[in-house]
Amino acid sequence: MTGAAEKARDLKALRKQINALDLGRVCVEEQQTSPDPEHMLKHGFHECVGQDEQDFSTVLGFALAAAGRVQKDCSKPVLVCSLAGNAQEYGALYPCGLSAFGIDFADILSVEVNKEQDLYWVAEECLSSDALSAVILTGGYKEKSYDFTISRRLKLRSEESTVPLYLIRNWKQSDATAANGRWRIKRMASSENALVTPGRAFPGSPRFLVQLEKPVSSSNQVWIYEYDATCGFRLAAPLANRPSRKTKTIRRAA
Amino acid sequence: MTQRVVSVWLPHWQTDRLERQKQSGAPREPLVLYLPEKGGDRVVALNRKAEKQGLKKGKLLTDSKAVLPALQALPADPLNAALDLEKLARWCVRFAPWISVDEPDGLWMDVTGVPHLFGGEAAFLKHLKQHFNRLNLNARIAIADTPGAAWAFARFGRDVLSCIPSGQQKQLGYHLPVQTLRITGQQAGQLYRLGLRKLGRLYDISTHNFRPRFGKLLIQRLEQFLYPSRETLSPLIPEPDYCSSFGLPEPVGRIEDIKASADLLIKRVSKQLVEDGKGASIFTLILHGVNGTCDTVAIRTSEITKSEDHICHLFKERLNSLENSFSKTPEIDAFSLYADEVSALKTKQSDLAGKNMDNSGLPHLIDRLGARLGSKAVRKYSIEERHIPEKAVRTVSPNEVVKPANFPHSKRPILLFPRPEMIRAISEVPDYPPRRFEWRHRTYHVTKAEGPERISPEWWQSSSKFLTRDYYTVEDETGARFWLFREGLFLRETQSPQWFIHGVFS
Repeated sequence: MTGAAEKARDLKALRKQINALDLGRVCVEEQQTSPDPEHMLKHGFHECVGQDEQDFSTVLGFALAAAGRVQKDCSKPVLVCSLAGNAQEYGALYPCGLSAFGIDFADILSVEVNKEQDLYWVAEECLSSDALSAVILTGGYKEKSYDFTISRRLKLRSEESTVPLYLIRNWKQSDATAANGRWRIKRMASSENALVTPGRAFPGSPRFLVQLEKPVSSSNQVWIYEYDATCGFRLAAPLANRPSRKTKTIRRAA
Repeated sequence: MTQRVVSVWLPHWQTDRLERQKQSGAPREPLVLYLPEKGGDRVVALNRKAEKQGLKKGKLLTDSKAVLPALQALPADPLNAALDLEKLARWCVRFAPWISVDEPDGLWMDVTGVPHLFGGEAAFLKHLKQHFNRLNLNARIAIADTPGAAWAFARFGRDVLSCIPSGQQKQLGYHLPVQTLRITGQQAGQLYRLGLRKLGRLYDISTHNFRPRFGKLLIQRLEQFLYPSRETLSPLIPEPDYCSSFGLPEPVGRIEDIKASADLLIKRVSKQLVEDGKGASIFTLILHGVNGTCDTVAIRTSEITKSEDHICHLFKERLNSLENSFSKTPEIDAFSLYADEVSALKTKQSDLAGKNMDNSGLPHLIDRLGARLGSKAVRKYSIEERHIPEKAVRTVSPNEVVKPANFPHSKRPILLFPRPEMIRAISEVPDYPPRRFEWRHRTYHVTKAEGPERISPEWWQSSSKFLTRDYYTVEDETGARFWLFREGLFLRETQSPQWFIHGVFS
């Protein structure tokens, strides 16, 4: 089969999958010019946004998975700062569930603040210290004072620091901010479980449909990520298993 | 072990103190100390020689000089006398660890378990007396079960050294005057008028009869004389080794001035610590107001430090929050800074490449967050060996060493509700996961499910109302995943098992 035919088949399969999610026009082809999401997530200030209110755990999971990647490299703790009073509404972070994202509960520091302004102050303090591997801010969708100025301050701090900052924002907000990246994450049906019993379906590895809204680029902006305990946080199998264009070119030349 | 308390009374403390400062060989002259009071200067203290000449406290100085023209009179200095008494108390720590100052002229020592080291109580008192004699201090000493009884026998006992055997203060104190109860002169006068001159006469009178006339002080003092554990002695707090203070000619009130003064003191104390190669974990700043008030600002660091910048940063945060608590502009004319919990700093080890492995960044960050948000703002998770999900986790101080979880947890959600929320669930078969459920006015259709994972009550908790839970991980058609459980075993524990949602997966 020629390279073009192979590519067309992959594209058709992925378009079908994405149309099912009713997301609109997306491009799933991995190109040499596309931004590398994993590399991007390791530095700077990123806003993580869901699709609806139910996506809070999905967005938090994505941020934790990204932080877990950084944490593996530098072995410093991850700080999760949240606004007090949201535990019953959205649920409190449960350390026993963190191992599913490759983070040891002992590597998590939790800070609860009463005011939203303190949330950003904590972020600035953390970014000015080199003692952490990543910082996650969860305002519980109740942001009021977050604006361009605050985002600019956080961005400037993060540029001076090596610590990435992930801010979980309200899914309704789409105003202009100075963040390095804005990621819209949508929950997806989990992968098929290998241990399937006839007549019963089990939940598999969690999957996220990740769309990079900022910076805007003409290249690939959407990825399907999944997390499993063995392989970690990675591109979902249909994309991950495909050989890259470079490899194919070499093979063709041979 | 029965409590044993020693009371030391120094009847000529104020004059003895001054005479000690003079040449030790100089002959002692009659000396009185006076204070200006209503009607003129009155004698407030006198030495033994003046006492022998018939002079008394409370007399006018002019009258005393008329009796004894060669009398030496000096103005009294109660403040310095109190400071010297505290120094004497610190010196007494060599005899017992628990020393308390009994102003204006006495000391208390909790000597429980001490006298046998000196050969018994009588030998111990003798030993004490010898030491006070060497200091040229006239002392009367008593030991008893209660501070009240020891105080009474030291001042009103027949002998200079009184050893009251355990439990006998009631019997031996029968003939003591009622002034031994540390009551006011007015109350003593009232008792005298009623014919109650001896302590023993008060033993059998009902407290109901005393209270309306004398208030509760008399009853309290009587109980403190007779019964142990009715009075506690405040021990002397050890003096900090690292402290600095300074006063200002004019009071200041602006927060910037207070911060600048704090910075100066921090610099001084930090220098002292650096010179000795030590660090501290508690720093207390005291702001002395002109009207006698004292505001204390304390910071605690998560590890011992001598870093001037770090301490300044923490105080800045605390002083910012203090600024809002001042109802009006404070007038502060003196500042003190103490360093507590001082210990030697460990040398930081460098790695093979010679790079310093200083990991002080995290403790410093925790301190900075704690200074603004409160000491319990930053927490770490610890996993307990319990199966009940909401009880399996607790938060601890970030400095605490947590044990690794030594039992495998099955699949657990990333977010857990502190209180499980009840849901309406419909399942095809009673023991199967639900096919559909309603939560927060929304219906979810389950497409994938896993379970059950049964969590039983903890058998060692006999009074627990916990019912068996069957947990299921379910996923709806949009990919949202929930942790549900059915509470109670049908017919064995409950007639109608209820469904709850306990957590949300990512």
